[in-house]
Amino acid sequence: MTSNLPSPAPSHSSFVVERRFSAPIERVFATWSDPVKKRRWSSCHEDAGTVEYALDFRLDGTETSRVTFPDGTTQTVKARFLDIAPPERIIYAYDLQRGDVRLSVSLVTVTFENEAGKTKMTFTEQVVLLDGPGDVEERREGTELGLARIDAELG
Amino acid sequence: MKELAEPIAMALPSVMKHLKVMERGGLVRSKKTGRVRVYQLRPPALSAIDGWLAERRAALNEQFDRLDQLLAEESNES
Repeated sequence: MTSNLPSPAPSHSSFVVERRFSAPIERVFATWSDPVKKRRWSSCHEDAGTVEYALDFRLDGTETSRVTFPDGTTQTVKARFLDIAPPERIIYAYDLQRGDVRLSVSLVTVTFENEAGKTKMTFTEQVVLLDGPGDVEERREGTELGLARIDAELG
Repeated sequence: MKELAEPIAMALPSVMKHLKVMERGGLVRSKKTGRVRVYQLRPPALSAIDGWLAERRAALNEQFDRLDQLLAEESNES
């Protein structure tokens, strides 16, 4: 990508999402390690366009998800597993690309804890946002589209 | 601050109050140099990452709801 506008400096942030599931820890871990199960809950663009999905769940293995929207734009998420300790921990890095522009790079740590037969899952993401010039507006539109889809699903 | 107040028909204390509210809300930031306080619009990079985080959290919550549903369906099957 060539542009005369200067790219803003990368910005950093991190956040945590915690969830509790009534299933035992091994079964919750399997929803991350089994390709069929993982795809069932994680691919959120099935309605939006064609999806390519592949999961090779092992140390140094990769996960790729590519969506082609009706207007021809593609969104690609590529992950690499950096640490796997079943059934307690998964660490992976991933990047998000729209077309050939990389929008973000993240490091994710997912931990699973047994709580009397139930499972506490903690998802921690450390993100580097690489917004190119003019992307802020597009991102805002994307957010609104995403929220509208959630609304539609709840409605 | 005086420069900001001049073009609008508002008394200086009112402008100060408005700017303080805007600063608390993260819309502007200020820096005092000697007797002059300079106000600056917050850089757009911050709002970009806020937008990204809101979008990402919403998407993750949606995904983890489906994960919960998948586990519930498996329990019913067995």
